[in-house]
Amino acid sequence: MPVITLEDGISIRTFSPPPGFDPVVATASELEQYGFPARPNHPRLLKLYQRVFARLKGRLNYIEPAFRVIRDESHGPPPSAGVYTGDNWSGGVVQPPLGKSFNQVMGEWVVPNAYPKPGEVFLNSYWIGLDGFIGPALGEVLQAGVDCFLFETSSSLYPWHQWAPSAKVAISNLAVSAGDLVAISISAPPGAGATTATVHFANISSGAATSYVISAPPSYQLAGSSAEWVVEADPNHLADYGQLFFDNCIACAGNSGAGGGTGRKLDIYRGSTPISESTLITSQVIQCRYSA
Amino acid sequence: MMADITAQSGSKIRAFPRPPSSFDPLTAAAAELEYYGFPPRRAERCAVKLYRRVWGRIKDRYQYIEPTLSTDRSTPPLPRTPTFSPNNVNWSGGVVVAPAGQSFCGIQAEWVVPDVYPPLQTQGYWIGSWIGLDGYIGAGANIVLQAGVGQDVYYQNGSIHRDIFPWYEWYPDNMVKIGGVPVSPGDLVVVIISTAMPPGQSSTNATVYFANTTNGASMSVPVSAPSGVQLVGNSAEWIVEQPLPIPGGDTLPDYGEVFFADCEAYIAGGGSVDGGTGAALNITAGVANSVVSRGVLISPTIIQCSYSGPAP
Repeated sequence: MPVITLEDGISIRTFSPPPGFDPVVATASELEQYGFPARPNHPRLLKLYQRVFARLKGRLNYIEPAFRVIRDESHGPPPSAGVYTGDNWSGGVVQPPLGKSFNQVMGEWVVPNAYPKPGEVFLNSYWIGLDGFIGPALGEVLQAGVDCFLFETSSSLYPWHQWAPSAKVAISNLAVSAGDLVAISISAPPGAGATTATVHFANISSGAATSYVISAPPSYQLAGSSAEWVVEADPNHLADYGQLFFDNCIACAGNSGAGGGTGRKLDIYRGSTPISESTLITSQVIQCRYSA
Repeated sequence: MMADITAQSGSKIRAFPRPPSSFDPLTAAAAELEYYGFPPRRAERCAVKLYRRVWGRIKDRYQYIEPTLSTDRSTPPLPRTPTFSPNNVNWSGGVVVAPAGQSFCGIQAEWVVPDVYPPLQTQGYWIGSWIGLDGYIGAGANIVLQAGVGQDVYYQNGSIHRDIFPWYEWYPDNMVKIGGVPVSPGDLVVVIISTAMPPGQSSTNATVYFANTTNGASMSVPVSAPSGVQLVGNSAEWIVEQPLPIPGGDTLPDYGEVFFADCEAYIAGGGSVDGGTGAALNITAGVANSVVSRGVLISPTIIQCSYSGPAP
């Protein structure tokens, strides 16, 4: 169970599950021992969990993750700090029932393609997360997703996580290509007050997956006051991503779940023009569309 | 001024002329649209919305491609008649049937092209994502007019080879591969099949319009029915299709999921039917008929296809 220490004192625990490790049948203590999220009790969540892992059976390529701190995108716009400013998120956000807090968020989506344009810089972030939208913990966000960075004629896609206000951390050895279906689970039991979280990232299309444990920024803890599924960009640096469907959007509070499409929708505006619009299609499906 | 294209099969296809660079399909006259092979600006609200969105988005990078056409599949066209049950052999997605006494004259949708990997070096993989008219039921059951994206994925000399291309087919004619239009995984493509079919009649001509809205490449091709065949228009469908199970043949890879959005079928004479209001279709396999690819009607205009296999 190595601990990787990055700049700014960010430390991450990684694991080495044995070959053939099957999280669908592993015991609870084995899951913990190998850094996998606990199997949920809720029948619908359990189905989702099984869907991801049963599907990867036989071609699961477990990656022992390596990381890179992204202080700022070189030559790029300011990195998305995951802070909601009212015009940089589009997607869906839900809040827990009164008196409860979220302790897990899940979602999957097909990573859209986007092309660079000479002379322009774009940074689109597609992610799911907890906090950051409302409540006592503004500035604190626990999130993971895929970034699309376009600069001049080059483009890059990479998975990442961030527990803001700590820096964004890319997983540097897990490849993601446009058109891939990625599934993410972030779990931080018991919810409010949690200072560690398990991030599970699976590229269902390629079979590459990893799981690891991160720590809250010093003196911060999870509030669990919102869960969100987001396409994020600075309105002046949003690339045309076509459209993206967040699917199987579920947030858990205790033993109950909330569908990501049951809350409110958010759009990115440039001036008074919506340039990334979301639609809550069903309780668990959120559509985001480039509309500039 | 139409250019003649000779397909590899020897059949001649007359292409549309390249529109001038100032051409704006949002304001062009109906006759100009027809001349240049653009889909008609229909009056239905859903059609106007899609037209505006597609053209509004891609006009700064729009590039008209003169297509090259080939029928290079060595295998003869395969029957595409599904069984009349929610679980059928090779189609997954959604299908609607024309209201009594009416027929479909066109269909539209947009979707993101999935990325696929070949898990086995020794196996070829194929996925077709397409929209079409006829092929499902009644008088139109034995013909299909369809257009979409095909993906051939396999290992070649140890590295993954991906052949991704738009195509159309008016079954029982062969599939026609459209060359010259770049399509990559993750791109958002729009397909519109339109005919000028009057109410109560049939049609032997159609226009297939294809736009890759992510990179701006766009093309249009006039399509003629196989001899003795005409469009009936009694079904419209949005489909992820697997190859028919042939020993040694290609198989369906884990394609993740495909959301067909803005699914509409147009009724000859006016009006439309939302694509997500009919029946969902699943691909099943094995003795247990387990579902390999599932079609879900997510909303009136959105159909999801999701891989759930492999066959046991």
